[in-house]
Amino acid sequence: MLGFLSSRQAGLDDPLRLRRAESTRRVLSLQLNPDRDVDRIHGNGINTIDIDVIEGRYMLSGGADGVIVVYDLENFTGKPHYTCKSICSVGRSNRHVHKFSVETVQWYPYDTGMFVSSSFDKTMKIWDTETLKPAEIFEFETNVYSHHLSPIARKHSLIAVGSKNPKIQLCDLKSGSKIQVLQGHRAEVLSVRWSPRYEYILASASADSKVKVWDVRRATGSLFTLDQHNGDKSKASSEAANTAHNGRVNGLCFTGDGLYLLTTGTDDRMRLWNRPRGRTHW
Amino acid sequence: MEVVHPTDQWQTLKPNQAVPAGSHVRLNLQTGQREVRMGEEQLKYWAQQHSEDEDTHNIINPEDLKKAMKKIKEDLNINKDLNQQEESVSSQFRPLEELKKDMAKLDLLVETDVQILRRLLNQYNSTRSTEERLNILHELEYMVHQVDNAQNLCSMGESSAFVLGSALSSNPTVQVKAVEGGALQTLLTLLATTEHFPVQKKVLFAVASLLRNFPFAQEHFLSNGGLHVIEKEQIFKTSLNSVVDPSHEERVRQYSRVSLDKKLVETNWCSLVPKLLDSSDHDTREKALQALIVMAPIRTNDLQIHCKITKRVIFLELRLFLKTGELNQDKLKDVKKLCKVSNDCIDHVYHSIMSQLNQDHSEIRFSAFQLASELFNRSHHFRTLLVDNFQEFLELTVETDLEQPLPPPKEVAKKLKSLAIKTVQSWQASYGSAYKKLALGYHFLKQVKKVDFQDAEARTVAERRREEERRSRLERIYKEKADAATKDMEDSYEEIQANLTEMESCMKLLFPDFDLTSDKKDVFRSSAPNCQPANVKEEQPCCSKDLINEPKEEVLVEKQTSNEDCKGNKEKDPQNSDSTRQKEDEDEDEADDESCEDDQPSNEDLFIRNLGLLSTRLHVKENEDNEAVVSTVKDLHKLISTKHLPAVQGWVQVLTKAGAEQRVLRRALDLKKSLEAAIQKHKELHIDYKTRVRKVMKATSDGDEDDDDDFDEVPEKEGYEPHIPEHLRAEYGLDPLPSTSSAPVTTLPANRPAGPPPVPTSSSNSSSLRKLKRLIEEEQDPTSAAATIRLLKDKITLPDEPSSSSESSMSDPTPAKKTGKDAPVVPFGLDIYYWGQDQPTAGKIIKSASQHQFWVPVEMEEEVENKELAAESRSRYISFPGRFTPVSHFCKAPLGNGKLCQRQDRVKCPFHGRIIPRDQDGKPCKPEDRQREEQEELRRRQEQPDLGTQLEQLRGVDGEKSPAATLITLKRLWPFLISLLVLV
Repeated sequence: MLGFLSSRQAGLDDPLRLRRAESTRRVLSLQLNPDRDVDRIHGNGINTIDIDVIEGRYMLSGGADGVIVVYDLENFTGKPHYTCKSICSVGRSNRHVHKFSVETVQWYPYDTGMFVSSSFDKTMKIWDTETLKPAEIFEFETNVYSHHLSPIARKHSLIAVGSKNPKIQLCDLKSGSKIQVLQGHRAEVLSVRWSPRYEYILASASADSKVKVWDVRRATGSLFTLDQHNGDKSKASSEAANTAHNGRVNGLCFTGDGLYLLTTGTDDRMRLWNRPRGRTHW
Repeated sequence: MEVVHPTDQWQTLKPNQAVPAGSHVRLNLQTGQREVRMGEEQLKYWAQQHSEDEDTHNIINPEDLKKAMKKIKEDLNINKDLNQQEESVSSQFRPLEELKKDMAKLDLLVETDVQILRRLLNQYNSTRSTEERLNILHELEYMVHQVDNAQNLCSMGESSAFVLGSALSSNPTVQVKAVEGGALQTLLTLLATTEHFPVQKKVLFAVASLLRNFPFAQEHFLSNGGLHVIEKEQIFKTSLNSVVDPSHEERVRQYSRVSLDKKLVETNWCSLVPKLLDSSDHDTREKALQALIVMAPIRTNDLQIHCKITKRVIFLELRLFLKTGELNQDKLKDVKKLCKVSNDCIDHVYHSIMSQLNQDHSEIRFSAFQLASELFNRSHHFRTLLVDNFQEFLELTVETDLEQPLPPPKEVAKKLKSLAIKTVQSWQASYGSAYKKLALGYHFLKQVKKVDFQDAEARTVAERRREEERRSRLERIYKEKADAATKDMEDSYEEIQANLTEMESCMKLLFPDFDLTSDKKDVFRSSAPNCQPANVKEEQPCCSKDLINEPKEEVLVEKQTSNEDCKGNKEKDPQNSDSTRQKEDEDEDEADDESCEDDQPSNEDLFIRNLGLLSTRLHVKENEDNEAVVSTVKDLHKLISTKHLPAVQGWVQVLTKAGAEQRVLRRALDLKKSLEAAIQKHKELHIDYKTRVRKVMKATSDGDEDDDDDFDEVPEKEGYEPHIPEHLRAEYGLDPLPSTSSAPVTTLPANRPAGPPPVPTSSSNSSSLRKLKRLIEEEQDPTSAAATIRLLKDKITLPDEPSSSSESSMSDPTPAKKTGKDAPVVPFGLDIYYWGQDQPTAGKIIKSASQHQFWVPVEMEEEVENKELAAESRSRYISFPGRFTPVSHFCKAPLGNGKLCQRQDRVKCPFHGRIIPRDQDGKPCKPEDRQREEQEELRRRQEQPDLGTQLEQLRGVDGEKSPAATLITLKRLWPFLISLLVLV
């Protein structure tokens, strides 16, 4: 580390090198924090969690039994050992609770007063955190696998929803209606993500092993489809053309700067894509 | 300066070695080494020795030698050295004997050397003086020395080395001498040069014994380091076997003590010993392991090799565990020792354990898990490693992932699981706070998998739930049963109680003071002996004592005069004989009945007297006064014993099983107790029902006397006949019954003369039907008199009527057999089932007047007898088609083409009519047939003129005939014309 620092000081090294070395080191030494615990509220598996971006203090968790819990992660006790308490929860007794497992929860990016949850009971609910009542309920024909609110959107307030239906739905929080449908996938959409860099760019991963990148302003279709073979036709068989993985693609994540896209598939692979060019790195 | 003792073969001459005079020395141009062997003259000497007779071999007796040597030991205090040599000589013999077997293979030189030894030993044996012996021993020592030093005897070396080894082992003086004498070096040289494996082994043994506990020798040994390495290499080349390994171990231990050249040696060892581990021999591996473990502490600086070794060690350990099935404590200690060395070792141990855990066999997993759990408690590093991968660990041991079930065998898997759960719990208790993942895993098991850590069975929730369900279902069933039982009990409680009270009151009526107490029984007992003799003397058969004593005597008599007992009875009692005479005319059964009948009157007189006696003894007879009461009692008894008691017993069973409330159970138990008490009471009362039975029997058996007998007997015959149950007999001061309950009755015919029936009673006739019923019932009951009578019948009649029975048996079967031959065998059917019976239901049809589905008139079930059906069930249709006989005759009617008709119809040929006998030409044999045939022929001709005439007719008569007629003719001719056309 010191060597890296000194060589950086001397200008011998690329800044990226130092950064990578350090981040790699840290990643490799990742460990469970022995001092932090989280209250056990969920009786079943936890499908999704989300920490709010504003304070980084509140954590949402959605369980397989439809329960949603809000935790306070902040440690005010002054002691190193701390168990995060749950502030409130939408339990089974709640009138508005999701009937089936909650698949995705997400805080409203600008305010912790609102969060969105989608569930296998074919609904997506916009919750008011104060009252723990749904302010808005979107109903769909099929199970909702995933939804995403753009973390940077200033000009729109769209929620992209991926469901069993191959069409991606865009729900507008302003009007409370489904305003647009993005067609192009052939199978259920397992994951959707807005780009953290460009307001209108959306990536979607589907069970047809394709990853598509959309510009929601364009009605014609997707911008492009990520191809694991980088367009090399010789390597790809006809049905494997334009696929990102050899199985379903069930995870999507943009890097913080929005330049790269990370996808995971059921072929036990993780791919990093150079997003603007749509090329795979690994 | 060392002196080389040359042999007849070339051997390398090392620098600073002296050569004896006369030796042949040469320079080997291939190796560049100097070599030496014996000179020509010496060789001649060798050859001469060799040619000597070999018979001397068998002369030496090792036992004698040993004895002698022992004597020497005792007599003289020779120096230890000599003693040692002596021992070595003695131990020489076994190898020598082995050698004998291999004689053919062995080098001739060995024999010569052996011969020298033999000679010495012979001398030793023959001489008695100690001095001479000493000399011989010296010589022997020299010989042995020579054997050692001179490597000329390769195969001899084997035994000599062995001798030396045994001589050297733990004997410091000899050791010192040996080392000083250069034995070590020669041994090493031998080891390095010989290719013969057994020799190497023996030599190694010698070396090891030399080095053991002898630092001086070890130093010496190490100073010849080069040799040492060579030796080792050779060891591994020849893939050591188990004998070698202990020496290794020993040596290794000494290395650690003597810190000379250690590193060099160790590095070599480190690379060499693992090779041993690869060998297939299990023993070798174990030995090597031991050696490794001894070396382990030294080799910390050589980590890489060490790790390799550790890996192998663990692998082997696990295999060992698998083989032995359980953890070997020593092995475990070894592993722990290895693990102490460094964290890297632990890494390796961990990885090998994990790989073993991944094996698809529960046994392996189980052993690996045991090892892991041992190490977990020892090493922090191991804990961290394991806890880091805790999820996988749990998957492999506790079966947390349903898609990865534990591999077979099942029992071990179960064991593994429960052990794993227990272990995880203990880990959690001791390390849970320090290792977060462990705690998380524990909570996962506890809360998500719902593993009950208290439950030794380690069942999952599902299993537990299933178990619970099963239990609850059973409980429910029991409860239902219990409820039903309680309800039943509630329902019938009253009835039972009523019955009981009724019984009670009946008994009171019969015997006012009757009480079921032990006092009464005592009274019984005390009164019994008093009465007994009197009764016997008075010949009162009705008294209980008589009845029981007499039968005994009778039975004895019966046994003695097996065939004549009936006759004997007759002689005793003339009246009885009369009755038996009468009986002879009748059937078997009836005769028995009669004998019973006869008994009855004989009792009459006695009964009256007995009454007084009996009353004191709790015996109740049935007579006209108490008949009603007794019959009620009897009914009640029957009711209680057949219906109530089993029911109550069943309730008690159900209630106890279902764990019903105490109150109900107690009630049931009370009920049972009182019922049993009632039965017991009834038993004690000894109510006699026999008379009735008799009456009834009479009624059934002989029609004429029926009325008389019935009338007669009723009053007097209510004779009480005590029936003492088997278990109570002791109380009455009686011997146990020799035969069955039938015994008392057997005597009856003897004692009771047939007499005229004195007093008729009116009741008997009217009640005869009822009695008949009762008779049947009683006959089923083994305790009843009727049954005993039946038994009696069998007994008496068998010897009585041998002739008649035999006659009947002789005569009867024969016709049956005859008819059986002719009659067809018919399978069992309804008709046979109901043979000779009236079928109550067959042939009856329920006729419903209304066809409506729901509306039913009041008298719906109107049975109409269907005669046909009834007849059908009584008869059977047997279709009898007869036998098929093939037709042998032919029709033989002449055909148009001159042949005869070959059809074989039975009666009638479809073409030629009835088949009649014909001759070869087909003409009928009988004149009338021939005539008939001719006539037919004639008629046919007239009716059907041939085609030509027809056509002529057609043509010629054209003008005269009407067109209609021609048309008809044409029509008739049409088929012919068509055939003509076709031909054209």
